[in-house]
Amino acid sequence: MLSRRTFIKSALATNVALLATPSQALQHVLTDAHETPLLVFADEHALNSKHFISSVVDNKSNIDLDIGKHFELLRAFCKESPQGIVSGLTRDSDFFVLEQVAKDFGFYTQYSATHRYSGNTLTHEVSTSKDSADLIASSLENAKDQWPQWLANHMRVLPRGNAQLVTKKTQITLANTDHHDFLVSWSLSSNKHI
Amino acid sequence: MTKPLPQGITLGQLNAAIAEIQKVVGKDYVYLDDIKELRSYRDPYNTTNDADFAPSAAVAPQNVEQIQKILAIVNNYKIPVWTISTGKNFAYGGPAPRKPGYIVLDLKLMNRILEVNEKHGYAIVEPGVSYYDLYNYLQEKGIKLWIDCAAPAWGGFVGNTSDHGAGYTPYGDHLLMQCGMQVVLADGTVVETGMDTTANSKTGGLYKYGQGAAIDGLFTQSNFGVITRMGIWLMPEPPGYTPFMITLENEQDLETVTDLTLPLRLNQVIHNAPMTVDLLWESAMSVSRSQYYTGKGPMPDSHRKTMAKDLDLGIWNYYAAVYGPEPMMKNNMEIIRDTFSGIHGAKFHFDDTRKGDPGWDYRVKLMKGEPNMTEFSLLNWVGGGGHINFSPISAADGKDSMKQYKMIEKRAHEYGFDYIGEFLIGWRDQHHIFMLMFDRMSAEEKKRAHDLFAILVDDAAALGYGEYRTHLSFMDQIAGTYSWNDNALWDTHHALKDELDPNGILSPGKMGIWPKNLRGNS
Repeated sequence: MLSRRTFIKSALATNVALLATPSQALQHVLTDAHETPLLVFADEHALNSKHFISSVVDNKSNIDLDIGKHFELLRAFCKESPQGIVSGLTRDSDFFVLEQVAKDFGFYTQYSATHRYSGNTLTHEVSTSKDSADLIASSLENAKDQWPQWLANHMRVLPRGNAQLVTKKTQITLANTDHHDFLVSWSLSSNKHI
Repeated sequence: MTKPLPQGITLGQLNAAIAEIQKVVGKDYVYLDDIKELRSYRDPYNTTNDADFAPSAAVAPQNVEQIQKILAIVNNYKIPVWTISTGKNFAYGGPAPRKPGYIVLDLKLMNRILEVNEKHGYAIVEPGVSYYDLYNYLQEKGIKLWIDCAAPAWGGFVGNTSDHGAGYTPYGDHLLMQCGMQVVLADGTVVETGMDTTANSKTGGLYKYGQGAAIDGLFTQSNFGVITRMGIWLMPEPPGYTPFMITLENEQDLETVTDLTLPLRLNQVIHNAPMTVDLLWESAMSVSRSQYYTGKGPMPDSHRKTMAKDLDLGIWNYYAAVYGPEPMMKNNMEIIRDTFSGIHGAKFHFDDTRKGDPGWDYRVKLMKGEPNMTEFSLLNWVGGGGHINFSPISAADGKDSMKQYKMIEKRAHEYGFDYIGEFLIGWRDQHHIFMLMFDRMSAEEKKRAHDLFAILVDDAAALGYGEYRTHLSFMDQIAGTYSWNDNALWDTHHALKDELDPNGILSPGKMGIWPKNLRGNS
C-alpha cells in the first residue's frame, strides 16, 4: 500500500504526467486507502456541504448550529482510531473548534481550504504541503461547481505528514450562481500514525 | 521557520531549559513543532500578526509537583511561561502569550473534579476542568446542581473565573461565586486561601475569607501565581424556570429597558443578568451577512429591517429568566409584564412560540447552565470571521447604555464595520460587549479593526468608562486608562510582582503587569 506521506510525491508526481487529470491520478490510489478509518463532518445548512456529504459513504455527521454536540463523537473517534482521518466541509467556526478539540489527541491539520463565493466568482484557497497544494487547487478548479463531490471522493487521500504548509489560490467564474457560502474543507490526522 | 525567542534569551538557553522540562513531564507533554503543535497555541483572531504572539513551546504538567519543578527550571534560565487552563477565550487572545517566545504552561491535563458537595452546593475543580466536564459529571451522577457557564462553553471554570468572566444564571458573577483556591507561587511555594489553610478544614468550599487579608483576587487577571485548584459555588436546581424574551422595535428602547431593569435586578425580581442583544448578534446565529447585504461598509438600515422581519427579531432583543416555585415565578412574571408593557411595540416571547429559533434555544440553555457552542456561530457573520471583544463597564443606566452604544456604533461605522453588541446587567453595573467582527484573511481589514479598537479605548476613557477585560494587544493601553493618582494602582501591582516573582517568569505583561526587567519595554 502506498503510504499517505509519500503519496503526492511518488504517485501524483509521476502519474500526473501520464494521466489526463490529477483526479484520475488520485483515483488510482483511492482503492488502496479504504482501510484508513475516516470520520467526516459537514454543515447541514449550506447547499455545497449537502452535496458533499451526500457523496460520502463513511462514518459521517451533520453539524447543526451547536458544534459542541459533536465533541464526544470526535473524541471517541480520535481515541479509538489514532491512525484515522477526520475531515469535513463545514463553516469556518466549526472547523476551528474541531481542530482545537482534536489537537488534544495529537490530530493536527494536514490540509485545509477555504471556498468562498462572491458574486459569480468562486475562490478556492488551499493550504497544505508544497507538493500537493497546486494539484489540489487545480483539481478543485477543474471540478467547477462539482468541487464538493470531488472533495468527497478524495478525502481519504488528502496529504498527511509533517511538511510545512503553503497556500495556493484559484478563482473560477461560474454562471448563474446565487451562493453566498463561505465554507472550509479540512483534514486532520496524527503525525505519529502515518 | 525561526523559533520565536523570549526577549534576552538565546536558542541555546531555551533548548537547555526545554530539555530539562522534558525530563520532568516526559517528551510527549512538551510541544515544540511550530507548524503543527504550536499552531493551536496561537490566536488566529488577532488584529496584528501571528508572530506577535507565537510561543516557543508549550508544556502540559499533570500535577502541582511538576509545576513546581518547571518553575524552578524557568527561574534558573529566566524564561517566561504563560499560564492557561483551557485556553479557549478566543475573543481576548485564546491560549496565545502576550509576547513571542514565551513557553505556554498548559494546565489542560490537570482536569480532575476533586469534590462535589450537593448538600452545600459547591465543587472543587482543577484548571483543566471544562464546563462540559462538570456538567456531564453532574448529569451522570444525577446531582441536582447547575453550573454557570460562559458562552461558548468549551472553556473552564478556573480560567474564566480568574479572567473575571460572567455567565447567565443567577450565579453568573463567577468571581463572586468562587470560594477558596490553591496557588503555586513563582518560587514553588504552594498557598491555599480561605478556610482550606486551617488544619483538617471542612469549610474550604463554604466560607470565602478565612482570617487575614482575602487574597484570592490577587491571583485573578494577574501573574502573581499559578492557580491549581478552585472552589466554585453551584446553584441548586430550582423547582421551576421561566425564560423569556422581549423584542423591541426601536433603537431608543435600549434606554428605557435598561432603566426599567435596574430596580427589578436590585430587588431580585429578575434573578439572572438580563441581556439586551442587538439585531445583528441575534441574526448571526442563523444567517450570514452576505445573505442580506454584499456591499462594503456597515449594513444599511433598510437591509437590517428586512432581516428583522424575516427572523421575527427586534432591533433589540431582551433575554432574562425567573427561577423558583411556580407561585413565585408567576408573581415575578406579572411584575415584569407590568413593567415592560408600557414600551410601545414590546412583544413577549416564551418557549411555546419561540422554540426552534437558534438565538432563543441557546439562550434558554445558557440561562439554566447547559453548555453549548452555538454562540461561536457568530463568527460566520463575515467569511473568515475574526473577532475581538471591546467590553466597557457602565452603570446600569439607560443614558449610559445609549451613550456607549452611539459612541461605538458611530466609530464602528466610521471604520466600516457593523455594530454587533449586547448589554448584560449585573448586580448594579452593566457589561457592554461589542463584538468587532472582521475578515481575518484581509490584512487591510485587520489593521482597520485594530485601529478602531484602539480609538474606542480612548473614546471610552474620555467618557469615564473602563474595560473589564481585553485582548493581549490592548492590555497595556487599557492599563493606562486606570491611571488615577499617578498610576498608583500599577505601582502597587508592580511592587507585588517584584516581590512575588523577582525573575519575572510568570505571564509577563498579563493585563499590563510587567516584571521589572521588562517594564521599560512594555
